[in-house]
Amino acid sequence: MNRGFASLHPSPCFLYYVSLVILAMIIYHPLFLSLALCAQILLNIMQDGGKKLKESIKYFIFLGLLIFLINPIISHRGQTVLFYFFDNPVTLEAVIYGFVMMMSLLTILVAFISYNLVITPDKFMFLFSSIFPKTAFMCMMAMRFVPVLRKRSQDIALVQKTRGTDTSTGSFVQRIKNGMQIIIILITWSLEEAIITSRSMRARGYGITKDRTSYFDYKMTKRDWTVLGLIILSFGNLLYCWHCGIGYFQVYPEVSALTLDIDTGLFLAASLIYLAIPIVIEGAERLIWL
Amino acid sequence: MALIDIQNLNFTYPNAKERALKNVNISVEAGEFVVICGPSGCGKTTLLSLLKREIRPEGEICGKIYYRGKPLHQISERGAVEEIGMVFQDPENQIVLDTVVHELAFGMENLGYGILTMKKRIGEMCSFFGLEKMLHKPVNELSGGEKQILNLASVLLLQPKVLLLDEPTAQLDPIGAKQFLQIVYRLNRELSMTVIMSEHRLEDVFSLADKIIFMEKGQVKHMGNPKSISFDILKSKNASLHNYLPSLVRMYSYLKEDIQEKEIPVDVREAKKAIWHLLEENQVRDNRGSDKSCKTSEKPIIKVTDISFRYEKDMPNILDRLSLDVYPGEFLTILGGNGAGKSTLLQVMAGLKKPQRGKVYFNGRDILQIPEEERYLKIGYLAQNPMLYFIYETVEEELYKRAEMLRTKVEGIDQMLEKYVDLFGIGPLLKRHPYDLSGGEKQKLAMTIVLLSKPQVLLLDEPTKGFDPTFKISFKNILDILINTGITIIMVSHDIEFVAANASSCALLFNGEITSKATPTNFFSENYFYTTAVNRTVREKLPKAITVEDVIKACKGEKFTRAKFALC
Repeated sequence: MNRGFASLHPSPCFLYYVSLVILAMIIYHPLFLSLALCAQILLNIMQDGGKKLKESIKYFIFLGLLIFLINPIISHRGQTVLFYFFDNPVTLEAVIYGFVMMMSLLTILVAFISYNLVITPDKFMFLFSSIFPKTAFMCMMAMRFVPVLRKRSQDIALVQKTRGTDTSTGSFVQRIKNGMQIIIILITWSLEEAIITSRSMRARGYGITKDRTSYFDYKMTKRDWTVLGLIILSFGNLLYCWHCGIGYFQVYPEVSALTLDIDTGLFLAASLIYLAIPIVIEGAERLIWL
Repeated sequence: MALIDIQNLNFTYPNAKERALKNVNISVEAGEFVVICGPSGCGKTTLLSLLKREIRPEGEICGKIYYRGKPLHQISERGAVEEIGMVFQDPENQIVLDTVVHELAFGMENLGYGILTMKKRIGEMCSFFGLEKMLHKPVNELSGGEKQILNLASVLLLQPKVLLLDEPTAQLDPIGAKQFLQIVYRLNRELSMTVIMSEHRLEDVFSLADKIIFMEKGQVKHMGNPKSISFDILKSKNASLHNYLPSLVRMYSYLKEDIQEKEIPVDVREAKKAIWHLLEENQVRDNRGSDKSCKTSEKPIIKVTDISFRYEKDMPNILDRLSLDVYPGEFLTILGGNGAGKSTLLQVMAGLKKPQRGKVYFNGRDILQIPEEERYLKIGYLAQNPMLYFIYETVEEELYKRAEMLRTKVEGIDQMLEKYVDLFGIGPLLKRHPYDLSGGEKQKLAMTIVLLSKPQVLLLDEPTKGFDPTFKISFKNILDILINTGITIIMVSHDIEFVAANASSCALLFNGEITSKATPTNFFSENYFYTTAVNRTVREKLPKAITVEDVIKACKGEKFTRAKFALC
């Protein structure tokens, strides 16, 4: 998929997701988190119709509820006792803290789905290789060999079954032994084949120059710079707010009231600008095709 | 001045008693298409590796290799990598990185090319090879043929002057192989790229090559253009070499009394011209009697009824309501394109995979109801890659440990072991490590391991892949002996010539089902493309003749054929 937000250079996209995760972890404001979660769900729906989100939303909700429920049960901090649960006080503060934690977690999880749609492994490698070129190269080789090794081990298991080495029947110890047998064959065989890979690498000049370049087809255009600037500015703005305590929501020891004063209003407006960036980009893409 | 000049080259591997190359003298002009052929282990690969400096094997070199008039080792490191490119035999293991585009860029990245140069070259190469669609695909989704084309493209991006190809089509199916060779031929003609290719199947490269070099035991035995080398080999005393020549040349040589060098056919068109009048002169009788009879009156030993199989829930059926009967004593070959599901069918028939629908019966019993141990004893399955079978350090251990395991289940295991070691000629290899054997020897060892359980049915998955002609004949003899002992053989193969000459019946797997099953004669003579070169040449006169032997028999009678073929 290469349209909308994903059509940008990987750097602004990556920065956006990283900054979002940071914000979701440090700003414990229920309104900010609710907005962020809504924005991320909307983004997911705009990106792939929410297909990927649907696959995992069940687990996310389960996980979120678990945290929401467990926090008040194990944490008894806070002033306002709501009721007693098996002689333990359940406080309003703990309930709200649980809710905030749930929202924070859900935002991060949903953002991660969208992240996977936007930052493909190839883009990640590109970002990674500019910092750690050798490690990135190793990762790409490893990624090549994961499916190869899986296929090989399946083939070996199938054939060894006909020779009486089966990992699905027999006693536990026997099965472990048989599994080891398969791994041994896999390793010896793969080492043997790796000789050919290394010959092929040398034949194409691997290691003859120190300054190996890397081929990635990404260029920062004006649009990418603009978006990058926008992200940095709005993210910096929110960080500054957080630093100054604007939009700070107190939970412990006593929960503060959710008031809409000018500070909070400005803070939420700043949040909206930040959260809207990918959505506006996705939306603008749609407008072209209206 | 020749582009590559090899003078008096000798090479000995460390600790080897004999030289791998003996006094090799070859000169290759710029733009030539050279094919090096010869039996496995004749030194083809060694010679090619010596021309590619980065992968030169350890050992003692004597003699000179000049590249553009300079000794090869004096060329700059960079120049050697760029100007001499090499593609290896196995399409899979040459690939280093995960996606097509990364793999293409690999060589250029190594040499530190700028991003713009890389982009331009990749763009150009992709349009030449039609790779645009798969540019961002993971390499493991490519077929063998596509992988080999990727390997070639990735080498060509460095714009080499010389292309070294080490049996590049040995692991491909016939269609993939033809496509690959066509591309190489185009490169040779359109860019005048010098090509040096090792190959032991001359059938496909015969009409493409300018020069053919025949090597044996490290020495150059014959050298010349396709016609003159055929002439030399046909005139030489050594009849076993004749098997290396394409079937059309052999057919011509058997039919014609006084062979003319000019007349030797390189393709079907020329073959028709050369032998047409010979067929007219001889009173030809079209009676191919060599089809081994199938006794259809008996009960099938393996009965496949309406099976459907797919690998994952959301994938299409790879086998779709497929039915097939195999009778005792039959030698059935299953043909079909790449990815048609031939290997899967074999695994289902071996009871290794459970079809979603339908049943496989072995001697009337549902195969999946037979206890696994008994099932695998009675139905021998030999996978495409023999490496999967080896567990131990030596060939001897591999065989004796297997025999030990089977002692209580199979009668007379020791005599059988002795018999097979003898039959397969494994005796001299007993102390070696299974991984150190040649491809054919590995196949034989794996087959012995499978045969020790005294199976009634033997399932073979492309066993002749990468065999040289001599080895194929010895393999054919082994199969004959096995069939005579009453084993039913089901073989998946791409090797039309081998199938036509040896199978008792052929089946085509297409679109998930067996579309036709017939004797080789009927099967191939009805086909238009998918038949032997011999049949394509003589079909108007002898529609039923599919092998060289058939044509000779039709022209000269039974006696002559026996005498001729006894030599080989």
